[in-house]
Formats: sequence, C-alpha cells, structure tokens
Amino acid sequence: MKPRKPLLATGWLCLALIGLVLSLLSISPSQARMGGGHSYSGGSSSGSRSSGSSSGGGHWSGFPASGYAGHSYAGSGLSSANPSSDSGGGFALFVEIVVLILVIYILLRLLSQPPSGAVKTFQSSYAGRPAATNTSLDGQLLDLRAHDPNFSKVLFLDFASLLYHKFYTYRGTDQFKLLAPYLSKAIADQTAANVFYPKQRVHDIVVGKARIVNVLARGGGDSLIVAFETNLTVQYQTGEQARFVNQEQWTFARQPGVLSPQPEQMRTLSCPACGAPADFTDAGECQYCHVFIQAGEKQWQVLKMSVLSSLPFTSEDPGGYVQETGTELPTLKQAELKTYGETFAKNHGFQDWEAFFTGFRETVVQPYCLATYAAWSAGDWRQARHLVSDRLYESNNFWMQEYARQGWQNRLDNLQIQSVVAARIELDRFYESITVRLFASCLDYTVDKQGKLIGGSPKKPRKFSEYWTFIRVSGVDKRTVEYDLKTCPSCGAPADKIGQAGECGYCGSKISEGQFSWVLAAISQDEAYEG
Amino acid sequence: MLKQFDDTFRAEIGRAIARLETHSHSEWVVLVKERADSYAQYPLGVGSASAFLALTYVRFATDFFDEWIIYAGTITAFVLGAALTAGLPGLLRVAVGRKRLARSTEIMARACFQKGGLHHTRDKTGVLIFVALLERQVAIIPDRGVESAIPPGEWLKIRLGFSRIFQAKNPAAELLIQLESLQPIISNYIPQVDDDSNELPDTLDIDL
Repeated sequence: MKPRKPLLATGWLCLALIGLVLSLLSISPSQARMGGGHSYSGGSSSGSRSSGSSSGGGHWSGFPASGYAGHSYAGSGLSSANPSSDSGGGFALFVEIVVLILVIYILLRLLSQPPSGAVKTFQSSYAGRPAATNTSLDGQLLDLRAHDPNFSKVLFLDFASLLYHKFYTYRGTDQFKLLAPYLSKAIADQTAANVFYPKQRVHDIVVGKARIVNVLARGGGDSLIVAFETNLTVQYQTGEQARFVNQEQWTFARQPGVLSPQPEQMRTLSCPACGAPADFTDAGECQYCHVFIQAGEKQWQVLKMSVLSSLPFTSEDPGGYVQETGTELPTLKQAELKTYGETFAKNHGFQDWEAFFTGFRETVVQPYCLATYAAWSAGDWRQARHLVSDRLYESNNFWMQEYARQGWQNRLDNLQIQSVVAARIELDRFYESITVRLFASCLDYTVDKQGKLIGGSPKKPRKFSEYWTFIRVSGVDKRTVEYDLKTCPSCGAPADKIGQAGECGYCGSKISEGQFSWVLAAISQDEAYEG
Repeated sequence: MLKQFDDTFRAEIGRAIARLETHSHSEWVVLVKERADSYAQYPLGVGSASAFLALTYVRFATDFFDEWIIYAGTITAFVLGAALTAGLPGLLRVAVGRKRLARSTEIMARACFQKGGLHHTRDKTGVLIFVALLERQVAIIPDRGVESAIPPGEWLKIRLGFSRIFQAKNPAAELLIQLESLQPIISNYIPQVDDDSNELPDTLDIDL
C-alpha cells in the first residue's frame, strides 16, 4: 500500500538512528569525552596526564592556565602509541556525527511530508482552532427579526441558495433578465457584458453549505453576508466539462422598511410586486403587472459577489479519511437554550423541555440517524430522501455519485449512538429548528467493487460527534404515531416513491421542507460548527 | 543564461505576444527576472554548517592541527560555504529547496501582476507569465476572466509546457516556442471580439 512507504522508510531511519546513537554511546568514556581522550586510551602513562588533558582537551584549544601544554604532543606522541584504534575511532566519530545529522535531517523531512497515495489521511483544516459560537450574529439576527417578524433564517437561506442556483444557470443566457429584480445594477451589467459566459453553460450545481456569516447595517437598510460552499460543472463551448469547488460570499441587501415576503415567495423567483412567475424585461419591468421592480425595493437583492476560491474538483477526494478532531471539544450550546426550550415546550403543550426532548431524541434523532446512515451505507441515498432537506440531499447525493463513479462504497456499519445533547433552538414565525450534538461510533471504511479496502477500518470503530439540525414548519401538530420513517408524512403511503425533488409519488406533496414532520437540514462537523 | 534573455529576446517576445493577441481577446505579458528572492539566509546557513563540519573534523581527526589552523579553518569553511552557495546557482537551489523556490516565484509573480496593473483589463483577460531564472521556475498568473474561460485540463497542458523551458538547452527559445503554442488554445477559448483593444503593452517591465 502506497501510504505505508514513507512510514516504512521512517521506521528504517529510526532504526538507523537508534543504531547510531547506540554506537556513539558505546564509545568508551575516554573516546567520547571532551579533550580527545582517545589519545589516552591505552598505556599506563595515561593516568598521570589525564587530569590535565581531560580538562583542557587534546587538540582543542587548551587552557594554558590549567597548566596543560599537551596539545603539541597529544596528537603525535600518544596517537602513535595505539594507531589502529585511535585513528580509526576519531575519524569514525566524525563520520558518525555527520551521518547522524543527515539522518536527523532526513527523518524530519520525512515526518513533515504527508503520505502519498490514493487514500490520504490529513489533518482537518480546522485542527487546532477551537470552535466558537458567533454570539454577536445571534443578537444581530434577533434585531433584524425585531423589525421584520417574517424573517426566517431557513427561508432566507433557501432563497439565497435558489438565487445562487439560478444565477449560474441563467448567466450568459436570455433568461438572465429574469433575475433583474434580485441583482444590483452593477452585478447585472457586469454579468450581462461578460464575454465568456455566453460560451459556457453551468449545470449540476450543488449548494453544499449556505450560512449567514454577518449582518450589516447599511444606510438604514438590512444587509446580510452569506457564505456558500458549492460545486458545479462548467461546460465549455468545445463540449469539454470541468467541475469546480467554489467558496463564495454574497452580500444581500434591501432597502429600509422592506419586510420578508411569505414563504412561497422566498422559495420561487416570482414578481415581488404581484407574485406572478418571474418574467421581466431587461429593465426589470414585470410582464404581468408592468411594475418596474428596482433591485432591493421589495425583496433582497445581491449587492456583491466574491468568489473566494474556485478550484477544480479532484476525484481522489471521496476516499480521503480526515483524522477525527473536535470530538473532545465541549458542546457549543446556545446561551438562551433553556429559555427557547421552555417556549418551544409551551407552544407544543409539553410539560417542560425535557419531556419533549426525551421523545424527540428517541423518536426522531436516533431513528433518523440510523436510517440515513443505513441509506448511505447501502449506497442508495434515495432511501433517505423523505428525511432530509433538498440541500442536504443534493450535497450528499453528489458525494455518493462520486463514490459510485470510482466504483467505491463507503460503509458505515455497526452505528452506536452514545448520546444526544441539545445545542440550539431557533423559533421564528414560519420555522422551528433544533440542533443537537450527536456522539456516536461506527465502522467507517471504503471498499471497491471487489471488496478491497480503500480506506478506513472495518475493525476499529471510529468515534465521532456531529451537530445535526432538524427543521419543521412552525405549528405542525403532534401526531399519535409521529415519525414513521417508512411512510410519507403527508398521506401515509409507503415512502418508496419519493422523487429527487422530495415530492411524494402518491399524494404529490413536497415533504422535504418540513411541512409535515421534521426534516434533517444540516450536518456540521464538531470542529466546524459555529452555532 | 541571462544573456539569452537580452533586448533582442524582449523584442521577439513583444512580436510573439502581438501575434498571439491578434487572434485572441486575452492580454499576455511575459516578465523575465533574474531571481524572485535574495535568499540571503541560505548562504549564511550553509556557511555555518560548513564551519561546524570543519570544526567537528579538526576536533575529532587524529591529525594534529595548530590552533591558528583550527581558527582560520573554521572561518575559511564558513566563508567558502557561504560564497559558494551565493555564487553557484545550482548549490543555492539545492539549499533553498524546490518548494520554497516555487513559493518565492509565485509570490513575486503575484506582486508583479498587481503592481503592473494586469487586473485592470475590462473583461479580466490579463495573463502574466513570470520567469525566474535563478529559481528555474515559471509562474502563470491568469486573471479571473481568462482563468474561467479555459478549462482546467488546458491550463494543465499550458503549465506543463512552460515548466519544460528550463529543461531545454536554450530556455529563451523554448519560451518563445511555448508562447507560439498557446495560439490554438487561446484563440479557441478566448477568441477576438469586435471592440477589442490592446489594453496592456506587449512588452512590460515591472520593478517592485
């Protein structure tokens, strides 16, 4: 196995190093001591001279004050007394010191290099950086919600992801004008004038992560910065395709006094004035109500787009095994967790938060975890379609397809959930979300079609913890049999005809937005979770 | 090697770029620098190591050395090690290491890209080809427009081509050959547009 080669080399070097050190140690005290004691290794006369010579050094500088004047005779006179051992020992010692230095240097170089090979083990990029909650962001969002009660983080991020998706799909095409009410004039003009976009098509856009990272006050209006982690395929005019992994930050803004629209308008690109399907002229005039929509006037607009990085996707990534970090970090709990918990319990008629959470843990978190892990392990992510949000489904589906493309399967066997701890509760007019930290272990390994181990270990359980965020539309009633994972939460039919878009094949209801039951919306690694 | 990159070569580069840009909307600049960094610490480091080795030798060798030889020998070893490392590019490259050479070249190239204003083209079509002779490295810094217009696979080919110029007997001639070989790729992915203007000079010297 390739990854073992450096370790093997390191092992040999360690042995060589130990051998060298032992050989250095094995040199008799007279050989090793300062002052070139080798000159006095033999002969009865050594005793009479040793006091002077050993303190000063034979060939070395010598200290006249000690009465040592032996440097003139030490080399010539005494070395000749035992030429075979003296000359060989002195030069050998020099060579050994040089070799020792070289060995240490090579060892350090080898240890500092990551092992190469198809499956790489590497440190998490967050290693060493303890996670911290962004408490100021919580306060800023509360302020925002104070003057806009309709604001919902879940809906806003859905809107931002939708816009991201549409921007890349429509750029360079005639449909780009449909985005006129949602883009600042500068961005719209720059994009429309770009000479390269008409020659490219972007598809298979996967928004892996979208999160609000900052809230800014801007001229009395609201402004939010959203960080995206996405990947997409660019098709060039030659037919060639390339997949990129992007990190971007988009600044959304709206004019003072504008309130968030109803959920359906946050999930579709429609006219912010009349609600009709998006159909605008280049100038931003709605073809239905003939109102000129100025960007940011009635809905969020994108003010700035920053592509922080755009790197070609490398296919060896799926087999990569990241060293588990952060499991030992304390759980990042929301400061107002208890207050929100009690509010939540009261809203849903529970005696207290604990009474709700015990049931939630046993009937939602644990079954969802087992079901999603089983679906992943089976290589059939569609089995979990009705349990996860669109964004999570798309991003994980992308990775599953990558595994399939390589002919690999990532197995997550023998899942053992140790504990589930509440970390965060968010309640707004339209959505409620609960984030828990889940401590578990499983056999996490990847095999190819022949069953050959590609990475991980099928024997040693891997302990980990993750933050899981569940969302549900506010006011969903409690049912007698609340969470049957094998049926559609809307019509009760078997959940075997759930389409890619999360719509039940029997009743046609979209069940991936939390209208009927809890939906797993996000999974964050413990070292990356920021609350 | 510096002789190969003289004024005649600069004129040839200018003509090659002009030919390249007649078929493409992109703007190319070639910058050849003697070195990307001074690497002052490396000769000192090698000198110190030489002095240490010399001292270790005279300390443990069986031959007798007078004190002045020990003193002078150590200093001489330092000076010799430092001077040879500073004066012999090959030795300096070995001392510095490939990773650091590449990093220094990239940093200098990015600085020149910024200082030269290559990012000021209308459609972000500027590309800098930075050649560092001492480092025997080439850094290609494309602006966002050009980078996104050419597929990663083609970029890989371009980079591989330019990385080979120092394996050639005449790197300057090889650089010209590689420039010429860009023609089909860039005219395919970044063809000429109607209102194209030469936004960057074909020969440009940038000093930081």
